[in-house]
Amino acid sequence: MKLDLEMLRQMHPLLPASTAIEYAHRAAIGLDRHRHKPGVFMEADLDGEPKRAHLHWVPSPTNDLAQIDRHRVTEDAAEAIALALVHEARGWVVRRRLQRGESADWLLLDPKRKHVALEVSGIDGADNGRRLREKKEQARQTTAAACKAACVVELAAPRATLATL
Amino acid sequence: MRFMDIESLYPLVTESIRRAEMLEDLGAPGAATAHLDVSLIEEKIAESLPASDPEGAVARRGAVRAALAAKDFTRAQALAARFTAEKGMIPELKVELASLAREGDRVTAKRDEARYPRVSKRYGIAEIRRLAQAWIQQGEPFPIG
Repeated sequence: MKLDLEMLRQMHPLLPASTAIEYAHRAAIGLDRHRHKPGVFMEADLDGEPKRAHLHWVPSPTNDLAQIDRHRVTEDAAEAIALALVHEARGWVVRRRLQRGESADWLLLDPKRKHVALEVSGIDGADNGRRLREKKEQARQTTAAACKAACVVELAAPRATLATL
Repeated sequence: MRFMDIESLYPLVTESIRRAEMLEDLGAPGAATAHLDVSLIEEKIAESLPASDPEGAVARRGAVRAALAAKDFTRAQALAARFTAEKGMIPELKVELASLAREGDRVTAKRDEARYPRVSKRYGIAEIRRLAQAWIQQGEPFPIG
């Protein structure tokens, strides 16, 4: 499975162009921070089913890292990878961003046009399962959609775990 | 405001939410205004979608929630009251909107108690509000009924 982070806008037409560009840029910085190169193998766990994915992006100038908040880079890189993953693996398409308090980050549609509420989280190191548990618990609270999911992206590995509730 | 369809409003609301939350994280003074922008866009989305549509419900909660984040509690309560009175309102959403409105009410009560500690202690904040509302509604400062 190829995840081209430069193609977020094509995958999710309602994602604002500026957001798609920012996400791809920050994903490039976040992945570069861990010395990953475009085409790097990413282990994906889709509801317990392991999948092989390859991440593709356009590298950014190295001094860009110093200009952006580290935490923001991790979060936005995770958003980019998660949105690319759910589109390629599940065919989900973004409708809109959800506000804090909705207990999920994104409202998407699956191929059967059913709503999915997705909570995304990014970490630099490894998740021992704790973050995923927290995010699943958070997503469970949302009333935005009947189908709820959580995705945790670890940049160091890189690894992404998607859990549908 | 000119008519905008959902396909135009959704990228706008996504962008506005990200901006407002980023400004809030920075503690920037513009965060409240940015949240108010979100509330207005959510209100526009709510006008295009019925409350029974899951996306319409999200927009209604979003309009109220963003008004609360903007600390515009009067707007939050007015929106909650308007949405709750809509025909075809689903009971679950009604409960959620009422809960958001209560949150606004609690925050304003706390704010007013801090602002007017002596009168709020003597007469209670509810009575002060009743008088303030009567004052606003009659359009003249005295006498208050």
